[in-house]
Amino acid sequence: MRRGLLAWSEEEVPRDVLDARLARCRAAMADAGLDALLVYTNFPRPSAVSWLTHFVPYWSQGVLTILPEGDPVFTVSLSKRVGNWIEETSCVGEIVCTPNIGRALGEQLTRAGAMKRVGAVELAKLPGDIVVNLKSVADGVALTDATGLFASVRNPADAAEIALTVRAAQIARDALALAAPKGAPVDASILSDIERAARMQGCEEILIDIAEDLSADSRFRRLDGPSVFANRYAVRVSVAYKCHWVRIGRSFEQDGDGRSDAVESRLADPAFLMSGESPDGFEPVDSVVEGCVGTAPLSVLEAPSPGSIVSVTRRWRDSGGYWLVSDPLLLGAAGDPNRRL
Amino acid sequence: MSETPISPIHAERRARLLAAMKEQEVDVILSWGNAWQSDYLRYVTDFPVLEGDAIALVMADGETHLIVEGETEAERARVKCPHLQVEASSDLIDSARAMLTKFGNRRIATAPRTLLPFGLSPESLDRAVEDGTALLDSLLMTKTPMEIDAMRRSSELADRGYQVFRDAAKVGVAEYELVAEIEGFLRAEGCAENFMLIGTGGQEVRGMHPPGERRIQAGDLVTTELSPGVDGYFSQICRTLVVGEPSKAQIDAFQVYIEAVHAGLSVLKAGVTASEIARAENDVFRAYGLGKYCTAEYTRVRGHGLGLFLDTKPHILEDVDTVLQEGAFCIVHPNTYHPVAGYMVLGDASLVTKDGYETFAETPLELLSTAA
Repeated sequence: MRRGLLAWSEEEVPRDVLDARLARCRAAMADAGLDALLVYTNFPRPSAVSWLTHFVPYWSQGVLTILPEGDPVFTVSLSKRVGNWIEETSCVGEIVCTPNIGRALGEQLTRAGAMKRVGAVELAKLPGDIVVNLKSVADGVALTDATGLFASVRNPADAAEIALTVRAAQIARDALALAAPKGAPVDASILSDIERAARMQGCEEILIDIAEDLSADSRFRRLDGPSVFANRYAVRVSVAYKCHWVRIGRSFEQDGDGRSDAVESRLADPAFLMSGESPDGFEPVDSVVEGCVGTAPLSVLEAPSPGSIVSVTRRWRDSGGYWLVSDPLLLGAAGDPNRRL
Repeated sequence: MSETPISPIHAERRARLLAAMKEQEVDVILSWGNAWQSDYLRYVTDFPVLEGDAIALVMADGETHLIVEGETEAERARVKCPHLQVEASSDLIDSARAMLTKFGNRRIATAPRTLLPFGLSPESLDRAVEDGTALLDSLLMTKTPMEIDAMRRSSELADRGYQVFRDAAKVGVAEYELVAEIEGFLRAEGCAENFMLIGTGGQEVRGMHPPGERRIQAGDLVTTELSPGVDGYFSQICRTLVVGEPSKAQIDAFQVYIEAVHAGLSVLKAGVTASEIARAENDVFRAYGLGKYCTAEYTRVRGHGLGLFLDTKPHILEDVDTVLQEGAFCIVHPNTYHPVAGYMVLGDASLVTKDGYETFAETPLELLSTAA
């Protein structure tokens, strides 16, 4: 819950980009016969509303209502004085501040008229109070889950999304460079350096995970206290820049025998991480591919779509223990090669 | 990695929870939490959710299941909390429903009701679930000596963090750079959790928010609420800093906040209601003809509880009749907009005692300044 820089730059995300994303949603709504689409946002689930409006919540919750025409209405349980900040940092239409989001949504849908089929992204995860209160004033509305609908329009990534993700990746790489051994034994003090460096570059959020001794355990954890790292260790940073998240992780050896350079040279090939191949001398252990298709910034994707941005984590093993790597990629669309971000 | 299987403070929490469940004849507690608000879930699991949402199911014998979203979070949970049975799920609701079906006719209580997703709400389930929020609230709102010790340490860290903030608030520094300094300091202290808001500027500033790109100027009011967490327990400090020599208008305006915070603190003791504290603060504003700035148009709350969440019950408002018990932890902060000077904040976390309160901050409760 440690938000850093939150600001909207129209140079980075022009209004017409947001308009185009909205149009993609509306086309899908029309195909599905939906009269409205509700998109939820809160601190851990900011990504869908952010993709549509650039808004990132630091507190409380909200729902964006998209009708077939007109500006989306953003209903938030924030006090009115926060309205100016929302307008400064995002591109929304009317802002409705209310302690009872569900009731306000019900009234909006009723006023719009003929609201028979309303989609909600991740309906089952909407707070129960919102749904119950909505139905109490708009009983005729048939709520339907629109998770798949939203996922179908969320990708491929557009130029703005790619550029912001590249920025997040650069912040992450610069911060992660501070985790490399530099002669003295490496310990938990690097976390402070990493944290400060990333935030000084304007990151919105950074999560730092450590695997302190890869000879014995490959699992990452959040480190809350002092620790001296073993010869082989890994650091992974999950960095957000204006709600665009990447995970970048690297393994290091304090006695440096060249493994890092060898792995890095393989990573230079943008096809490598998705290929299932291992660097020379390593055996594969497992891999995870994460990306954004809904409200969560990074979800596990079984079949990421071409043109989408993913963060790939690979775990290998050799006689010295485990070796962990995470890196973001833009998956090639229509026969194009992948691109490292 | 040398994580203790179960920390002493969590062992104590778990004992209190199981005793409360037994007393109220509850067989299973289902708790929901996420990276924003995880106090109920953390109380029953000890796990600090970093990403996504999570569900915990606690049996009467103490067996505890934690369902999180994705293997990344599950790995963190397994390392941090080996006493839990952790499941990574791509569909939390389905996973929780599947577990609920195994419980037959056992009594299940959910908490907190306000966060419970529609898919697990009484309206969606084909079985009865009860609201267990009050059961957990009774445990969350009154701190044990071990919890008070954690709150004391987080309060002291907040106090020291504010000194770093004060030293770093210089002309030309961007809001996000100032926050970076604090976050770096807290990390160096082994503190992985913090929430802070900031405001910079003058009479036009209506509140605080996450940091933007604005750079501090001479004469600015720089406000912050800094809320570090130690062992999961959040404290808070609210202060207003003038960059340069405070103007007479700023000094006069801030006098209202000084009087209001002392008025609130003067009634703070075990047995008082949240509304009595809020009324004491707001009466000061009303006496100055500033009563409208105590309304929701300009301010959210006049203080709040602290603990495993930084904004927990009770909210200090005139319409909240919750009684503060001995061992409660709260902050009294009459933060609001002043029509002459802009948004101003002031407050310290306080432990409620039988006869009054105790604070752990040394930063003076006054309008502070730093060289321009």
